[in-house]
Amino acid sequence: MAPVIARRATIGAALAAALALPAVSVAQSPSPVVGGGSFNTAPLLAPGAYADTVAAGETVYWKVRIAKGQGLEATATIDTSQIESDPLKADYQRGLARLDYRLDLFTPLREQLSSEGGASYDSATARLEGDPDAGAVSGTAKGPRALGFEQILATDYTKAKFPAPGEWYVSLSAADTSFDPAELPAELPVALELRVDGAPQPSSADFARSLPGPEKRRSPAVTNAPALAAADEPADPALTIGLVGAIALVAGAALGALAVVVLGRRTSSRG
Amino acid sequence: MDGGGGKLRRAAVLIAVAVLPTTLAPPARAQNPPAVAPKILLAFDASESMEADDGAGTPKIRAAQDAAVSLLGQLPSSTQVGLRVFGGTRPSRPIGPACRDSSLVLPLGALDRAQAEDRIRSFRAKGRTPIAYALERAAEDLGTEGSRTIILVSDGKATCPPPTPCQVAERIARGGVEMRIQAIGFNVDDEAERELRCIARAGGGVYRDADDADSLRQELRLLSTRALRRYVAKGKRIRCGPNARRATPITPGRYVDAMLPDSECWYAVDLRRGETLKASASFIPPTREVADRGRFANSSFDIVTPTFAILGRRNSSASGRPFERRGFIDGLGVVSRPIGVGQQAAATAPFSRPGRYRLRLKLQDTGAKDLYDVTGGQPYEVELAVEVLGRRGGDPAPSNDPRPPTPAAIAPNEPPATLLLVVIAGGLAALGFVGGAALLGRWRR
Repeated sequence: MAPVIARRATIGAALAAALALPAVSVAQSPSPVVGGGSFNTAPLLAPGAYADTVAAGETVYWKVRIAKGQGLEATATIDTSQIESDPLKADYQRGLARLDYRLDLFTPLREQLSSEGGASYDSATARLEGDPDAGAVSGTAKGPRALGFEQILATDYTKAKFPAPGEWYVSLSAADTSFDPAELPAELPVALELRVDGAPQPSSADFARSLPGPEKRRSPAVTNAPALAAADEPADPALTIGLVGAIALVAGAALGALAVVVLGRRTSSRG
Repeated sequence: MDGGGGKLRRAAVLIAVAVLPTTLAPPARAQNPPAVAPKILLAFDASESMEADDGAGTPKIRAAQDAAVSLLGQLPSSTQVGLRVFGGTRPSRPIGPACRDSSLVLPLGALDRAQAEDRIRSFRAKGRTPIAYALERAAEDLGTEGSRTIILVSDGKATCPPPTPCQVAERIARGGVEMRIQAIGFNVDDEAERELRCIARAGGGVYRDADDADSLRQELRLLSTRALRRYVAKGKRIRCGPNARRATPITPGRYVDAMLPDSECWYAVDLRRGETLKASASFIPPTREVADRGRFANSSFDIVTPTFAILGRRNSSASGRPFERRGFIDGLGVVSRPIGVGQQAAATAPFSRPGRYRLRLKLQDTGAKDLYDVTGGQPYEVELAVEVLGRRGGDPAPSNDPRPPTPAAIAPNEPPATLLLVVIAGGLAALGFVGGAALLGRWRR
């Protein structure tokens, strides 16, 4: 069994290298990196080649900063040589042999882009494929070019999902299912390559500051009178305090005056 | 007369005291700790050979202890970490006891860093390398629940009779995908490396090479971080409000919360003119089985405007099935439009008003309450990311804001606190009472 595994490993490694090589422009060894288990824990990576692992049943997340005008493309190659693909072999495990490998791109809003539909969005999810005997699977996911905030926020952009500038997430999952559960653990080496194409163009949400605001308001007293209602235009706190204070002052004075009148009457009636 | 004012003042204080608990107390809500924390058991070689130099002037055992201590400093406190050594107490002969020489130096448990460090530094190097026996015991230490990792560090191959460590690792791995064995070879020869690679492969983990103290520390950290990446959410821990009125106010940032199925979570964000709210939420499944049974559960995330409108469009609402695939986490994202400017400047536009916007997150269970059942009523962790676009250093330029500046003690766009109102009104009423009485008294005289 051991030599078989060793041979598979060699084939797998060679294949992984062959798949990864043409895309890497500068010959460099991939830097080891540890992806996160979810969005908040995803490490920020620059475009380049990385080495990580993904375990059976796990999804790993990384992120990349994308500017307006740029598009993200990610290629993942998983070395699956340690998984026995021959059902006749003793160490064959169906759950591992049938793992569903997928590479997904998410927008800065953390939405899976491909679920929106549309040709340029569909390619944001890729299934990693390879011959079972090849000992490796690979796939490339490509996102659309990021639009500027001024293009998607100032107008009625019709798509429900935004290719906005910001931190894009890349996830790689090796999911098993309840029908074919992975019953043995397996941690598989991953070669990840991140490419960003297009020249960055400036886009900032600050564009909104230059947009025209509302016309001059009418008398503030009219709009703000039901100050405590709070449901409509938010109240000006100073005005609320002033109003309540004035009412309290007048009520107090009236009470005081009343007290004097009542006390005065009692005194005079006793006297 | 003065007595009357005093009474009123006392009444005001009384009212204030009565109001205080309701305004200051956080919303009460059942909050269980998140489901099973990940467990890591370090299994270190403490055989005679660990006394040798690591090639950089440090005995290998010291290097291993340093690496473990440094690792503890980096792990999140929710992790459970333990340390077992093999060898360390018995001489190499007789072989029987020497091959059952393994002690749990640091039992698995929540991190107590000071105590853990003393224990880690307490073990010595002596005797044989009973890797197989130590692995068996380590698997017992970890139990049968949740994400479990053994990180084996050895400087040589096993020196005990069969079963071989590789066979034992294979047997342990049958405990399921959540149990993994990682191996680090510390200054090892080819033969030992082959054995450790075999253990890692059979145990569903990976093998890493360490040549010196520095690389050992690095590899240990790498493998531990990978072991933890599932089920460890990151962000400031907060607690949401149960409804719109009690929405928890938050500022831009990353948060972690927890919610039960069939409940709502509310947050509030104050927005000024020209700002845009951008928020995302995702659910972390507490166990793998959630995706099997809870596939048809639903979730939604909405922006609620200051007029309590939920638009359900313009990307301000999102919904989806949160647990579609095992191990996969999807996000729900919402975004407002720039508040009160451009197209939103018209009074009838949906995002025309600056003020308090709210976020409503819902997790809807299946008809059979599978989400609730599969975790035994444990809450689901929620990751939240909130950003306000167009906000400058927390204090935007007031040029576009027509409202006059407000005192710093009161947050803009928010009705003043009831307590503040009661105190001011009480004081003024008392003043009015005294003043009115004095004036009328003098006039009548």
